Amino acid sequence: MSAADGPVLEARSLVKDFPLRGGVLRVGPRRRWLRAVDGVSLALAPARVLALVGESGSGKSTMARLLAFLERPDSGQVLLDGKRAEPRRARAHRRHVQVVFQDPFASLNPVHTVRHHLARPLLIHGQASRRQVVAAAAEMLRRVSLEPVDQFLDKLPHQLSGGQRQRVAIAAALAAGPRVLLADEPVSMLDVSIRLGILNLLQGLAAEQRLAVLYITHDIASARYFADTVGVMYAGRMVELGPAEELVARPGHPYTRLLIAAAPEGRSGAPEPLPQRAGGEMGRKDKGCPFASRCPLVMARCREQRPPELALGPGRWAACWLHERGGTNGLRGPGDPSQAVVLTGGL
Amino acid sequence: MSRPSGKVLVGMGLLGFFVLVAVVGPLIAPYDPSATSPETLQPPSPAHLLGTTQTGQDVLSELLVAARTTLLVGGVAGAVATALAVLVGVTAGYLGGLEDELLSALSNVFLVIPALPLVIVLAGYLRGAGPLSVALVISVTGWAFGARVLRAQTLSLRERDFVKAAPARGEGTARIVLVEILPNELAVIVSGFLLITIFAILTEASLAFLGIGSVSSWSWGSMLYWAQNAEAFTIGAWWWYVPPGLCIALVATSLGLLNFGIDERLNPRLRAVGDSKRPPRIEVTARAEPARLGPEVVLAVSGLRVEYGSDPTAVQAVQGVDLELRRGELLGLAGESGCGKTTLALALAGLVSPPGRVTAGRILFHSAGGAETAETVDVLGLSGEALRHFRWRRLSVVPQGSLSSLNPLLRIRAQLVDTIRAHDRSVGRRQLERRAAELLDQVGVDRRWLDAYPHELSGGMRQRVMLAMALALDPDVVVMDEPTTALDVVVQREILDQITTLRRRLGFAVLFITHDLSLLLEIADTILVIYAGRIVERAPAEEVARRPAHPYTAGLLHSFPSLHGPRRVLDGIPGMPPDLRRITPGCPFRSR
Repeated sequence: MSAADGPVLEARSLVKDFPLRGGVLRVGPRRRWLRAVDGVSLALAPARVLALVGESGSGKSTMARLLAFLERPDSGQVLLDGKRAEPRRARAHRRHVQVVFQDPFASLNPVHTVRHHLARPLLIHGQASRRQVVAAAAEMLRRVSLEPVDQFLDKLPHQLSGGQRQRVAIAAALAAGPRVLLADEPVSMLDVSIRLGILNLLQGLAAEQRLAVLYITHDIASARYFADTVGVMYAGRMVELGPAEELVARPGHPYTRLLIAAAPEGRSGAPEPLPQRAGGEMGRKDKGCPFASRCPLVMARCREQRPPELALGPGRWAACWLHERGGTNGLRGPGDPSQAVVLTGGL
Repeated sequence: MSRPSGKVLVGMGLLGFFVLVAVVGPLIAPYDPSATSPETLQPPSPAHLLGTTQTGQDVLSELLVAARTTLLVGGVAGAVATALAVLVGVTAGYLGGLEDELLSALSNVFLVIPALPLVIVLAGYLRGAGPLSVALVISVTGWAFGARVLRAQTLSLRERDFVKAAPARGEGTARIVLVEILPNELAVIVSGFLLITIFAILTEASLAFLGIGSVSSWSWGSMLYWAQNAEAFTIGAWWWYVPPGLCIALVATSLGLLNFGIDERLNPRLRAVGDSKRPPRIEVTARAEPARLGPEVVLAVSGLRVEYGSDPTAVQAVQGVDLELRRGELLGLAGESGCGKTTLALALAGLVSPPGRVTAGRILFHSAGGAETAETVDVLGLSGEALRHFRWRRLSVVPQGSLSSLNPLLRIRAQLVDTIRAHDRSVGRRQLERRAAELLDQVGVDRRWLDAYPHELSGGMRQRVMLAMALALDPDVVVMDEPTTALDVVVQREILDQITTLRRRLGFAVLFITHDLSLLLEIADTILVIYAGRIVERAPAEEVARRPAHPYTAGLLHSFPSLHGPRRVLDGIPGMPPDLRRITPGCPFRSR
């Protein structure tokens, strides 16, 4: 992140707990809680894309919902332009921070036309007067390359393809005139062949309109393609952060390596099988590293002490004990033959 | 908007006729319906087209005047009850929490009380009151069911992204309910209105017939009441009681037909039921000789065509597909949404259902065994028990979306056991249990999940259970339709590894359908690329990766970013697959 651009939107140590339903009758002495987000900080800067990568249940979508005040954080702060934003004043906040949802088949109201979806945010956030609203809506469509505009304004969602719907959803988010766009898995429901079109569109918007973009995905390859910075989340915590290119080339955290190994590469011939899960599903633990039960390189202290954010270079860190004392222990890529030995040797 | 069906037109015609009668009836009635005359109990004659009553009143005039009361009671009761249902149901569903609990309790109480006795009690207080009071009494008893339905609808709509996104956009509550939610419930509301109106008309007739409510004003019900009092039924004065009874039945029928029209609009499958009754005409082109199949081929498809809908606007989802699946092979089928991939999978399992139908082609299944025991099955010729036997024993399907494919109310154990038992009744209980546990072991899910319900499993585990169910009867072919699409990459990779291992051990062949060509390159032996219902390329996986022959394949290949090599701008494929309703000659990909 260049020094000239201060962050537009910042998260500081956000925490969110969700109640777990206890039994059929929802009664019980104590409610159990799931910590969906566990002290995550991040910063979004104009014209930059930050990707949050992780598997289902890692808390990455909750982060987006917290940043947009669709959920209230239990602790921690959200800062807009360096000033603390209040969940009470959510409407004013959303004028600047807009969300694009994952499923374009669910995010548009089936009974309303494209015109309605674009006109409402334009009117609500005062981006256009009633008389100009159609022209403004047309302009939004042009920005997301849905042309000829006249053909699209009066279409209903079911008359559009998945990619076109997602473009409408993006246009509707842009219509509020935001400076931050939170895109929660914007392409994972779309065909592979049209994903790139949407990502290229978002990238162009980030550059041209100096939008700060948060891109949430489980596909680390698309994060590398699209984002400047990548943060990796696991079990509610951020476990690694760094410039996209570097992080993928030399992943510091064993979980990041797992994500990279799992990504389909489009080469023929079966890749190395993944190491078996030692402890099964993702666990939330109070002490130690959350990944310890699945980690092929786990050490005794990983189960006892929570690893701090250990710096791996400028703007890069990983929360993993492998990097204590600044060692280069984990900085080899997955393609490195010695690494393969370590990974499989850990079984 | 499609043309309304015949049923709807008949319903609209009938209802329109009765509404017209209700409006102009009193004006065109030949006599004063209450005026008595000496011509008592006359059968129909030119002077009295529908005869006269015991006191010499003209039945036709009564009928015409009564139409207004009956329709008014029906309409008013329908409107008031629907308004109540919308108010209570939508409020409860949208607000949730304590409000929901209270309002739901209220509607449950009204649902439990039998409607007719309650109406009789309430109407007892209103003896002699006008038809409007009767309408109100009926609506008080008739709203609860509609409220339940609307509450459920609102609950599910509230969870949809477009409603959740509305406050994020800055919409107020009233607007969200009125503009975002209510229009989506219109069909349910109208259908509820029609049902309550039918209920009200029938209830009004029952009340009047029992002599409760307003027997002094003319309604079809009160006509029946007087007819019954005068023992018209026993003396055979059919002209007195048949017309009002018939009118009630016809109005109720017309409303029912309109309701059917709404159902049809909501569920297109019903519309096509009529079409599917005629036997599918399958033109068997070039009868493939079974002998031609080599022993290594387990499934051979030739010239397969599948259409959805009726002839002029039919969607040609699969347009003459040929494919061969070898024993133990993993054949990948890649293509975008709307290219006919899933339809092809359904056709192979004989699962195409109306409005879809197979119109041409041949699917031959060749079972394993030596030259004498091997049998060749013509899949499209199968039906009933034989088709059931073929499906799952020979060829099973792992469908898209594991959550919707598992029964949410049954434990995993029961679903596995049922699958085996549905095809093999001879297996004992103990053995079934053991087999179910083995199947879970096989797909790498711990046995303790046998007693879990589907929602307690993660998406990856559910998909593994689906895989276990597909393998339950040791099929030769497993068709997998986007088995990993909804999963994240780590789980996807784990499941793919599992499939590869199992295939090596058990030797089944797989047809793996996906839109993600990068996956196929890693796991498939041979790759078919489908576009606009046609296979555009077939090649071994390495070949496709190295030298894609069709520009569409090349487009798919350049659609996913890589983890290695320089970052470069990729374009994907512009545009979208063509509309399969219009068959254009030449290459369907040329426009892109």
